[in-house]
Amino acid sequence: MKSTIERLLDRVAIIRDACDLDLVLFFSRHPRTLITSEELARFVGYDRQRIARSLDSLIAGDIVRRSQNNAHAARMYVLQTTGPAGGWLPSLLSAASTREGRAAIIVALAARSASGSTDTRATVRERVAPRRLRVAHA
Amino acid sequence: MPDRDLAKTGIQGLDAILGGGIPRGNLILVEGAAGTGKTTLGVEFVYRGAHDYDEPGLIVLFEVSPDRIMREATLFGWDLAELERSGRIRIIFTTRLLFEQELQQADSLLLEQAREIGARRLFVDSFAPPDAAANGGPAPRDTFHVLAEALQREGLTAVMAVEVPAHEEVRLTATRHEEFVADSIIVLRLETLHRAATRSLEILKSRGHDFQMGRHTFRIENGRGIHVYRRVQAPRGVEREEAAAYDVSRRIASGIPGLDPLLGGGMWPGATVLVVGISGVGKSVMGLQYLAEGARAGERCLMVTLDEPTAQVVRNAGTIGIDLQQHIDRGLIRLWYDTSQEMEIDRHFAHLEELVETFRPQRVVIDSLSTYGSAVSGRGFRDFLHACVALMKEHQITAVYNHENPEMLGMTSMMGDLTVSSLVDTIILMNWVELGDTFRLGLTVAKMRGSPIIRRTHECEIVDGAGLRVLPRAIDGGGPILPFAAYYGLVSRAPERHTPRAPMPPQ
Repeated sequence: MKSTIERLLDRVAIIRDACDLDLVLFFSRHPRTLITSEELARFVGYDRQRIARSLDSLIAGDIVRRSQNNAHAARMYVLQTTGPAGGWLPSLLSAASTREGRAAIIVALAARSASGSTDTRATVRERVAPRRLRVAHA
Repeated sequence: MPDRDLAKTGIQGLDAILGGGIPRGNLILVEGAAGTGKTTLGVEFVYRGAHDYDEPGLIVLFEVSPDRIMREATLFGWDLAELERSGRIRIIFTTRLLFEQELQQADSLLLEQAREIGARRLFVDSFAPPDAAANGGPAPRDTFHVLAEALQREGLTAVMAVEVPAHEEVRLTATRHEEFVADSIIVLRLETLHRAATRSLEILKSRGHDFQMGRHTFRIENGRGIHVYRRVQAPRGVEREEAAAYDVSRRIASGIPGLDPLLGGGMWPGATVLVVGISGVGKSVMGLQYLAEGARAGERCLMVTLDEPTAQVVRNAGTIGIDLQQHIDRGLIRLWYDTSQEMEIDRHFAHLEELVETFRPQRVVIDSLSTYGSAVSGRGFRDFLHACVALMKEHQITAVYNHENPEMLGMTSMMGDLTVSSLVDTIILMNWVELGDTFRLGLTVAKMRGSPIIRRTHECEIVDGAGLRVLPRAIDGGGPILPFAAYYGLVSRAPERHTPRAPMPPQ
């Protein structure tokens, strides 16, 4: 029998790894953010390439909207709370609102990745403990 | 002269200090150490604009995440999320460096956000000018000037929080370039007195309008937000005292049997009456009788009690035959208890002023002045009393202030360290006199402006169930207890009895 998290992830195909999840969590706390990708990488705790991939994914999924002015170093990111993601986003944020909930989701994402049900882009270890957290405990 | 275009902050009490609001387009620095309330003030400025004045606003945050700001706002009853959904505010998270860069670009993404909602207000939390020496860039003053220009171009009235050191000396010695460029500077402080702390707000400068200088008290109140209380020392204007019409056709009965004749028939309307004596001589009793007398005559009466809770005052009144509760129920007497512990005198006075203006009492008893003296520093006490006297006179209230003199026997000064007797119209001294093996109570009217008095000391007594009364000078005793008239020097520490050969003092 599938757990609540499993059932949730079935609906949230766009969240495929820890970086995706942490970016969504960041934007839920900062729904309207003017920031460079370098700063975003520092805030969320992943390298720029992974952030860029996750951002592209979230933007394509209409979870986040990004300003299009390339003349600016920074972009304005706006969380789309009323878009297609509106249905599952509150459930995801609620489930990930605690340390244990977030960890459980990341473990579930890793398991899905290992079983081939989602795209593999990060190791299990990285998903459970992103770089920022590892540094904090070092 | 055209009306000034002022943006009301909507923050309770602040607009009054600002002379109605802040000139639209001003750049306002709100300076203060951590925890002084800068963020709350800035967020309320934007919230009130969007909610109360139909002026959308932008909040720009560098360190606090928007969800925390929204969560804290709910404590004050501000639904920022709803305002954001309805397009009346936007909360943007960014970095200081980007903010500075953005405001210098004509097609700024930040300002585009402001334009999209028609923002009139901006709050930035918090600004720190760049260190020119460190990055080799433009001088901080120039950088800040560019920011100010951009905000002015957009017609935004902007509040910028600026963190400054908690120690005033450090703040004053630092060169703060932004202070020269900003139009208005508001400093928030946590004032500590012994182990207590209060918040204060001071407007250092504000271009384009008049404002009230000095440190005003403010509170951050759950369910409401910021409430600023004008400092009680603020000039109250001569018109306040001149508003009173001094009536010489009537006197105010004290309610103390035997006292009014000593006062030339009673107190003057609007008089400031000081009753001085050590603890236990009957000052509060006198105050209660004074109120009850007013209530009997259908006058509204207010008692400010700082030492005793209202229930205790009602009980005490019962012991001298006064049914205070009955007068309270009829709406003629109101008791206001405010503990003197950690008293914020500006807030206290604001409440007293509100009570006077809404309840409109004809009689007021303050019990007691000495308690204010222990709660407020010397200069602050004098300023408070000045404002209080002006308030009472404006409303023609005959106010009785009880004051505890620490001297048990005799008096070397009327008010001890609180030398404000020059403000007072009438002074009634009450003190113990030791005759034989008994302490007896003496009362002297020592001062009464506008009425000749004879400064004779009379004996008085407090009778259970009946209260205080002043005894006639010649008591028909005949026994071993002689009237005060049989002695010299009662108020001094060494009363002497007249000998049969000694001439009697004039009666």
